[in-house]
Amino acid sequence: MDEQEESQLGVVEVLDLLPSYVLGILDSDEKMAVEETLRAHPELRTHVRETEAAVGQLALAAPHAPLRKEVAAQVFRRARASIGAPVGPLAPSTTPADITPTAATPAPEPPARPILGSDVRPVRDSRQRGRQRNRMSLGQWLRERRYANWALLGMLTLAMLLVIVFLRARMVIGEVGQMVVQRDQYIQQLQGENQEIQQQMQRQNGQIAALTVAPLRIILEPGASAPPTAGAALFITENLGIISAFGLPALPETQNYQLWLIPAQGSAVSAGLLRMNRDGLILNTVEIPAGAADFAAVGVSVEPAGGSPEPAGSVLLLGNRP
Amino acid sequence: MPSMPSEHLSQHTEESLLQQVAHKHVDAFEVLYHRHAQVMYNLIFRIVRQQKVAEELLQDTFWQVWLRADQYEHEDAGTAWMYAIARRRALDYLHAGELRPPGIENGITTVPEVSAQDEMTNAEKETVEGQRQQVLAALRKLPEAQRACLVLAYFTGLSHSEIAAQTNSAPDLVKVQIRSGLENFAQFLATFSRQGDNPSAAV
Repeated sequence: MDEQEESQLGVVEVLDLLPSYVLGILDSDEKMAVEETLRAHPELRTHVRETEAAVGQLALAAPHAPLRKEVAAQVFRRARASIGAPVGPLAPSTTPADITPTAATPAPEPPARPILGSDVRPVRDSRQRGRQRNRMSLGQWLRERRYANWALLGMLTLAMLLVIVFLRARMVIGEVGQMVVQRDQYIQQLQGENQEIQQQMQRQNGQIAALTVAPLRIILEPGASAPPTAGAALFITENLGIISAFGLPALPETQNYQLWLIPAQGSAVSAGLLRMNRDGLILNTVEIPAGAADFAAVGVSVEPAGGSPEPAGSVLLLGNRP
Repeated sequence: MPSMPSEHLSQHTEESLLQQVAHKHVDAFEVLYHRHAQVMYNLIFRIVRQQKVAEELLQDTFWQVWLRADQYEHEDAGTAWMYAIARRRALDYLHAGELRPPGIENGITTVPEVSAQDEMTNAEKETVEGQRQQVLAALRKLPEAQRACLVLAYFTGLSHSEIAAQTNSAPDLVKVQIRSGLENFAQFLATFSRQGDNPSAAV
């Protein structure tokens, strides 16, 4: 026996419960059991109809209560308005405007038909729900029922909007994250450049200090192959020197100016390559090799790119140690 | 939808009228209203006992009839279908508002006498009034316990246990009283109908 069969009642039991079922006063378990049995026994449908008809007759037992004619006008007006038919003037009403159905009110979806096709839906479930609410006005109650579907639709729309907003927010957060990473990289780059500038400034400050306090100063004069306006000065402090040259022609990339320390006896020693700036000036720091500290003269020659171990090109500037 | 003369529609059964209402036939709807609004209002007022509320619920009931007539199954009794909507609407309001249903102490199980207000003028209303007298007579013929349980269940929607508390009975016994009461009620009505709308002769 499956679960569905277990939940069914016998036909006799259902016939006993049928009046209470049609009256809507069964509890939810009994109601479900009756409905299961009615589904399984369509022949009981006749009994259901007879019971519904008998219950319906009980309405006639209600004592007479005067019904105002204005109510009819409002009922008809609303029905006509729902199909776009002329509605005529609104009859006077004593009912509050906020709870009176209006012609402009959209027609809500009717509730689903009960299992038996009859409208005799048990009221017990709805009553149980109703008892959980606080006291409400009739207008609130009617609006709640009429617009339940609209409220559901509104909630679904709101949920969709929230999902869209959530997805959009995630996208924006991702974009912002990328921007933050890029900004951090840019900051690191700026910090690197700043550090380099600081080091360059320190070097320049050292050069300036060397220029002002250097005990040895050597003036270089132009040679025969140099422009007559060319010249240079070399300032030496211990093993560090600074050379400042001007008036020299710019060299192609295949050539470099190279500084030489020339001893009284022996071969010239390289003190390094010289770099010319965009203005055609040379301002370089050079190291004085330990074995060449007692040089007798200084010269600047044109050498192949990267320099030469010995002077091979033409010497443009030359100066003697004082 | 073209309108049919109301004079012609007045001969139609409730089932036929509901079929036309399902097709948004306003004239059929108006005939249904004029034929049943008073009884439905009586029923609603009996349950909620407030004029404005009852009027609103009656309007709402007919609005549901207008909207849901296409769901009406034509083998069912149209009158019972409409009355059930009215009753359910009123009971839902009664319980949603936590209004205390009128109990035995308020005389709800007392079967009213036909009053001067019940006098109706046209033949249609006379038919309804004749049916009402049959219903009241059938209720009077029921044993007191059956009538009390049946009337409380119908007009208050109370559960078996709640009715048992009001009638100093047991819930299972209430079920039996309701079942027996409704069976007897239907039998009495059938008897009155066979006797030619003269329930007083049988009471």
